[in-house]
Amino acid sequence: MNMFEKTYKEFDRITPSEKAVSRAVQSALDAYDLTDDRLVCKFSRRKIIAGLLAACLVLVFAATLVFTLHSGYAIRPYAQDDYSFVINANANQVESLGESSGSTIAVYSGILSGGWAMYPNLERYEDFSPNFFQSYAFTNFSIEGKGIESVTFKSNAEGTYFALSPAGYFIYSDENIAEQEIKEAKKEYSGISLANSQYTADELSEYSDGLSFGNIYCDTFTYTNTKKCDVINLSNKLEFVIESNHSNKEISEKLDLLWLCEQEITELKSSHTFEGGEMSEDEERLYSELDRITQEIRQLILEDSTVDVTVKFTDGSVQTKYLQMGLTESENGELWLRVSEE
Amino acid sequence: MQPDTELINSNRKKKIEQIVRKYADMIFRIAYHNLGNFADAEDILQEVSVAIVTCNAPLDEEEYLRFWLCRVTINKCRNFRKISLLHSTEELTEDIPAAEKVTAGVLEELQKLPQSYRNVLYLYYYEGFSIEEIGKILRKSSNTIGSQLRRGREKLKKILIDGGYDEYV
Repeated sequence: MNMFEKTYKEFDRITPSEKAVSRAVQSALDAYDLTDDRLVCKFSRRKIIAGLLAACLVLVFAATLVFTLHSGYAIRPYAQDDYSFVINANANQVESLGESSGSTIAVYSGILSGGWAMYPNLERYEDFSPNFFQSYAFTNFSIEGKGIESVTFKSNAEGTYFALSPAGYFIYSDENIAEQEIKEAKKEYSGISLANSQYTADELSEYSDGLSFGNIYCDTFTYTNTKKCDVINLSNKLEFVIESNHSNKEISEKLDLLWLCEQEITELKSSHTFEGGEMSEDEERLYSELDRITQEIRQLILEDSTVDVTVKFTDGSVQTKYLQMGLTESENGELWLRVSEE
Repeated sequence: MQPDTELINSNRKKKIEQIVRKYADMIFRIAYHNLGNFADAEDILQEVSVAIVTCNAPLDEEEYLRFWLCRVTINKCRNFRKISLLHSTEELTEDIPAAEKVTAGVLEELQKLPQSYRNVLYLYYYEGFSIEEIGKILRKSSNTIGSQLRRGREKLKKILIDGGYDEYV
């Protein structure tokens, strides 16, 4: 038994309690029972209760509004200086990049996602490398400020997009989310466009192989602050996607090298099998080469890459800040973000 | 309800119970490996069990079901982590429940592995999936999985040496 097998053998000790398993079984069976006709009556009762609650809330709101307007209570309008915003992101995990502190607002690893290949035109790309996507989940990502009416994100570099999850969490093809729920959530987003992409949104959805997360792909979108929050939290709703494609000559050449590298690895694997997952020296060398080329491709895409973040305030004023992005030199190629005023 | 419908429902419910019980260990272990504690792993176990019913799990295709359960569990852990990152956490104290103390030792060291390597290593070394099968579960190319496996092993080796687990190296 090699060291990895020995280490993972420790998982024999990890088992759920009988109580937890019984609870899980019961939850599944309860869910199954809810799929029969008894569900209709329960929803009707729920609808009546929800309707009554909504009516009470409307009455309370109306009473508050009347009181506020007639009691002489003064609501101070926002002063001009109040109309500014900050971009927060992953502040707890900022690592030093050897530069002055405070300039980097976040460092993300692509560890929450991986690479996916996409073949937009199967005939054309039969003997060539596919286009390749890598995504980074923005954790603890928010826009904060008073009087925000909407915030517009625009990614300037070709081959960089946003993946939006209107439902508030990323939807995978195995999830069963109600159509209506998605429709309601999409109302928060508007003005979506995909000008920087060689694909339409439908193509991204249709042809993607493994790009099964999120519901909207775009390089520009506007999020409307319908809830009138001072902190607009986009952590569960936004991922940043980098696409390597053949439209750029330099990247295209590197993608072809990547493809050749992958073909060699596949041939090596087919000619032998290893015990315990060990690799030959040739395989190790090729994987290192794969990593190096992948990192170079992403660096090229993100070079001088910025995202414009424009906030429109309730008084009509507009302010724009810029997110600069890049990759660290580390093996994982962590994505760093910096905010710039110009 | 007609008698034959009752029979069908009864059989279906037995099947669901069998599947939950059969795969509870696997789901729990994947969740524990991703989230690092029993309580959250139990929550995921419950969520995945419900998903078996609500998301039309392929109950009659045993081989594909195992893939499906792994994928759904990992996806649920991913969403769970995103949501819990938004909430503040309290520091752990010495009053750790007895059940959690079992997990101290090398398994605690595995929590230091980057997230993307954990699932690949676990599925390969504990569940015994091939690289191609892991690629299907995680919806990535085989070569990406191979690359992650290689890097994961390097990281794990370093973690074990730094953690003083020489008996494993």
